[in-house]
Amino acid sequence: MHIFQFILLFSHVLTVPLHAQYGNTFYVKESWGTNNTSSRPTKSPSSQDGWNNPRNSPCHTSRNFNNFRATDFQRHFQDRGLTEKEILQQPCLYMFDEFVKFAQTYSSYTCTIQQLHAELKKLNIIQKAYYFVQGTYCWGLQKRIHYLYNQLSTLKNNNDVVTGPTISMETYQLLKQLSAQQAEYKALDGVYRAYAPSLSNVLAQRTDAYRTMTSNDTLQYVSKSYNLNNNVKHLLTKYGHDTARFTQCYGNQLDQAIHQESLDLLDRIDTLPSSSFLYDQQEALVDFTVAMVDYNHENLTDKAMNIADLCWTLLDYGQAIAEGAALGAYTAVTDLVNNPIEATINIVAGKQILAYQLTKVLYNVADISVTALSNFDKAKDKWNKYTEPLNNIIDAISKKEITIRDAIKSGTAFVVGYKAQGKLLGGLGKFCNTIKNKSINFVKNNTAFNPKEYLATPEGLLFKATADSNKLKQSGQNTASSLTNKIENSLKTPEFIQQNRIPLDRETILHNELFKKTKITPVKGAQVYNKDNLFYHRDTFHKGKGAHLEVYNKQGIHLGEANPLTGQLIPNTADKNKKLNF
Amino acid sequence: MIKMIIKKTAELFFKTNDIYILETFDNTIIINNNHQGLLILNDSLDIQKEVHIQQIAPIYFVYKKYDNSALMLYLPDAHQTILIDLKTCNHDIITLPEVFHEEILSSNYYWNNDTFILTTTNDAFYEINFISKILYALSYEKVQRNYPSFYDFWNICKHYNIVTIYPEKESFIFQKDDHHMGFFNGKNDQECEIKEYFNDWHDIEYKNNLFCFIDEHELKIIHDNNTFSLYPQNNFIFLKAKFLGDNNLAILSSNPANCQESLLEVYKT
Repeated sequence: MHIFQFILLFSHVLTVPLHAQYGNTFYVKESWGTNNTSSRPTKSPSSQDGWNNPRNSPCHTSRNFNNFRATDFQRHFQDRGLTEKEILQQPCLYMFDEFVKFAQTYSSYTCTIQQLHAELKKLNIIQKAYYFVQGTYCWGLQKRIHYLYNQLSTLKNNNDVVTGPTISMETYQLLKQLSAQQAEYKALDGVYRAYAPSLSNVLAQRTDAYRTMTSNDTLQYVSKSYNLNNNVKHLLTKYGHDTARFTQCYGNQLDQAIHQESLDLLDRIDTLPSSSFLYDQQEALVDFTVAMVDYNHENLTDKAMNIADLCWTLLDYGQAIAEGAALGAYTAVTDLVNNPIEATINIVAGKQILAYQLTKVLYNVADISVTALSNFDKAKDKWNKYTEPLNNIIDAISKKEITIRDAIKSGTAFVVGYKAQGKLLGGLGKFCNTIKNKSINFVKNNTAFNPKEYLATPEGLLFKATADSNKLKQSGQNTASSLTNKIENSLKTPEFIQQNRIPLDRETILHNELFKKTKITPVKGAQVYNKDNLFYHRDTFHKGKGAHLEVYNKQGIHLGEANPLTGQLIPNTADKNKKLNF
Repeated sequence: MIKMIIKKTAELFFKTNDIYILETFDNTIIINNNHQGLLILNDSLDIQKEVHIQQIAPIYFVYKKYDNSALMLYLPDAHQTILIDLKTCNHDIITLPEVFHEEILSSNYYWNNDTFILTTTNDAFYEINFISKILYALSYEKVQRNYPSFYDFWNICKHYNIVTIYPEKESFIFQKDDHHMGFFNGKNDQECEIKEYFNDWHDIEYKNNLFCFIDEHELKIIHDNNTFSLYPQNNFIFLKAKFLGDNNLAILSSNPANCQESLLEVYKT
């Protein structure tokens, strides 16, 4: 039986908590420092300051040592009269660079790290979970010890001056993943710069961090403290999240960049105006950010980045809509139907990027499985058919959440990794349910509109992006190149302009359901349509860029020419000589 | 400098005909007759023939057989084309395949003898079978092999921003930018450019070094450095103009306050 399993069993039998001891009794935590009878020497540090107590272990009170310098550690242990072995037997303290500096002054440091590394590798998920709960194992410990272990190899190699620096398999895998992500960012750089400016900015920062990180021979892991402003603290507390996860990050340059991003995200989320259509998604966005930080702490950098990408895309999409509203691109529910191009380009493109990011997070990070095939396009006008794909996703999220909860309860899951996934699923559940509820409210309050009209609104586009994610996943079209093509296709110059010809009705806004064919005799070969008591027909003589619609009021008075794609009147084009005869 | 002289030779006013189609060949003019077919007139504007058709949609484009013996009307809203024999005035309606609910026929085509090849705006080829009255797709290879001249012309067209095309002459008017237009003659592979022109036009025609720019309120004919302007009659606007025979120009105007009032004029250049 492995020593950890033995100790775990033994500690359970004796109801004695485990303690971070190193060597033959590694991680055995006795109840010294309490009123219990103890076999622990009385000069134990925990007996005096309590930090070695399971409830107050270094992992739980890490902030106490944030400002310690190596000399402070030295003084601290000298005051308490601890031996070299006792000092080096505090695994969680290795999270602090200054402690490591101090520990390196001992001759048994190398040996201690090697043994810790070997033992940690053998720990199974239940043991990690148990020690975590006990406070003797902390977030990122294995990664940290692994790093310190690698550092020993590097130092050794450098001393030998024979071989170059080496990287571990884990580091290699991480760099491989990041390199793939960098390639994706590069492919989508133009798209992001044009339609997702916030995402584009953070990607530039991540790329800088990645370059710095990979320009060195080894990854430089540091523990860094972060100050949270009161607004962010309040936001986290408001939705029941612990602020401590955000105050410290141990990791390489990219991990630190992502951690800083999480704080920037929280700032943005906090300042969402109540008028923003994303305001109701605030809690989901906070959940996403917390999950992102958890994944980052767990060295699952790619997953953390995918979640961050989704958050920034959502915020950019919200911004595009807000700006569209400010520019008068849309003011009512049907305006996006009428303005598919021009001022709403960012919204249309944003929807495509959103579907792309959402698909990655739902199916790659949260790893949900939607088995029911959704045929969103054949929904026609039946609302329940439109909502079916979204319901399938919501069901899949809830099933996954239950599975994770059960797995954690039964102790078959590694709590730390699953915890992040649980938070993400919680956020996704809230996100999708908010979209669904808003669509239901819309239908209730706007009985005159049909589902297709709702799907052309900003919120409807969000609905469609979410529902379409399943289709994207199943078709295997969620690639950087497909996204670029889709955006180009949705925004490309209409064919009748490219080909310098007169458009057909079906190539103009007149094809939209809101425009009803009238029985008025066609004008110069053009069908007359009615919308909101205004009468529209194509001009059948102007080609390409000059193509336009003619618009009249119900008295047949010419109101002006209109953009054939948007139906918007072109100022100063009313011609008093033109008339529509009914 | 030779001053251009333009003289009106005929005029025909229609009180109740919403004319929007104007085509010409030799000395013949073709116009729509409201939505019930076509009228065929000579250059004196005497009606020669009437082709009665119960149209269920407006005409988008008219294809002319190279020998001027037949026409085909394109009615995209009805997913139809209508073949008209100009000698007998008989017509046949061809229902377009379902693909044409999306596809649009372009103005570039080949119609010689018994072969009628149509192209689409998505660069596909179709051929009409005159016996079955069915359109079927043609491969690039077949077009290239059997109609190399047309295939080459079609390829050349892809490199230009074409404003007006004359497929039977394998030529077209193209626009490079707001200041450069020209005429490309595929028969001798020559281009002639025109630099000074006005921009407010919605249609352009070309024949024998004459460029005709059509704007609702002014029609300009440019020959070398000579420009001649025509203005519409009171309450009328210019819609279309087509060269007729060697020296004539047919012009279609309309009253914007009453689309049923149309005016057809012939000018000798």
